Amino acid sequence: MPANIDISSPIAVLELDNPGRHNALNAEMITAIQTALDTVEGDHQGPVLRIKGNGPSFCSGFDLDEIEGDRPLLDQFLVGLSGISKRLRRMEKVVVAQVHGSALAGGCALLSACDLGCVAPDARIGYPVHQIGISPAVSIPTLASAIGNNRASELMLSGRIINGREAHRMGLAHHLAESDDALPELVDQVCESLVCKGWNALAVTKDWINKILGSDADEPFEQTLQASIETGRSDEATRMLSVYWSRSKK
Amino acid sequence: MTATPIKTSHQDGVTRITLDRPEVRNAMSPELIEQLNETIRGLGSVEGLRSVVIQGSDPCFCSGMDLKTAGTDPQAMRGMLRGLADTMIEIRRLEVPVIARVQGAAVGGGCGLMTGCDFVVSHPDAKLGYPEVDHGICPAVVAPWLVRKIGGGRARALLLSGGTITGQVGFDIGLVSHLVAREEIDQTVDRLVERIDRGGANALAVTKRWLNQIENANLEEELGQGADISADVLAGPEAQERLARSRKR
Repeated sequence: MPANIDISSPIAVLELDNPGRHNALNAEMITAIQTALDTVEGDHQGPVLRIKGNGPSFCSGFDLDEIEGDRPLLDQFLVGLSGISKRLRRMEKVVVAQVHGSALAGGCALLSACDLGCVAPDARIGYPVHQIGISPAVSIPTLASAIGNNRASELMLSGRIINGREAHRMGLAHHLAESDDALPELVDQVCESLVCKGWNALAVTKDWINKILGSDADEPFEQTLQASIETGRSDEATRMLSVYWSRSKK
Repeated sequence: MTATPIKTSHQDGVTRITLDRPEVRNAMSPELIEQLNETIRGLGSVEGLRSVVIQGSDPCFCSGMDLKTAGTDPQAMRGMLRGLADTMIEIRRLEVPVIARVQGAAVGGGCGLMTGCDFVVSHPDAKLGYPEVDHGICPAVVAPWLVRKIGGGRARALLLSGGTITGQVGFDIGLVSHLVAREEIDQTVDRLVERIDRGGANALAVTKRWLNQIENANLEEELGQGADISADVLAGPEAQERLARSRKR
């Protein structure tokens, strides 16, 4: 499986494990994450879920090579990502992201859906997806509620890639490691400190914040998913994706 | 002797409300909250009022709810939480700017009170934050306010992490509006008061009303709901056990 889940301690650990592809979200990875979340929701005793990536990156977004020759797969990826974002946002656990290397597009969407983002200073974060004619709209419900409409628009419309320091400044990340190497230990500390809190208090607090922010409503998730799906089916996306694929073969 | 937990003074259009229980770091007792509410409600009729300063007698602004009450009587605690929610609503309804003068510490309910004010003047090594989840309690009353003040993601991170932060971090995330050295707090509050005084009273009132309206459609309802959520969690076994443990220490 390209994702491993360990629920043996109060801190459940989900590790994306396809380092050769920078943990890209493909059909297999999406299924593996969903299965892991089933396990966490069903069987894990504890207040924390930690998500990290094995290898050089956290998650580089959709695996575009897999879509070549099978365009309907893009719809499936988007549905999968939207569902995973919603589950992380609503899960009765504090979800902690450990982000190093790339967290791009779908990878950045995962980060935005987590409760606590911990980043390496040189991480590469953002939504550079217009270059392939796809809209990151699917990530709006979690991103906008995390960093506000202004910052979310700027990040999504510019498509620029920011580093971990800037992500921390703008509030997309809440803990900044001093160096890339110091990240795992920082996340250890953050997670261990959470285990000492009242578990019920954490769950109720998260649920209440979701209600205040409207994250308990399905509509925004459905509407933005639909927008991303339609954009992904457009002629523009077809044209830009062909250019992308022909370039990536050179 | 029954000391009043709230002291009030009016001078030159400025009302200063002082939380005055220094022996318990100005912890909020039922009496303190009740008096605070009465005082703020009474301000509507003060002639020529231009600004309000809320402050605490040294050593700090406010150390939060008096949790001694919580363990023995969850019902009293529910009343206090609703009282705090009401205070925050009253602060918002005031047609003049409200400044929190925060020296030393503003923790839990004290940090909530501070968050409800329009301005927060504090210093870099002040101790701020919401350690509620450490005690098995849910900071539900302040959550609606905090989400609007510093944004959803940061509010989420702060409330779920518990513990405390420094005044500097509070400033970095938008919780503190004016950060100065501790010895310059009074001077800064005075300057702010003067600045407010130079502005048009009507213009300020209309602006505050509009800001409330735009940003906070459901806020009052949420504040009330928050008090009940918080009281329910507090009455539950997890919180009671943790509070009993901390009392033994």
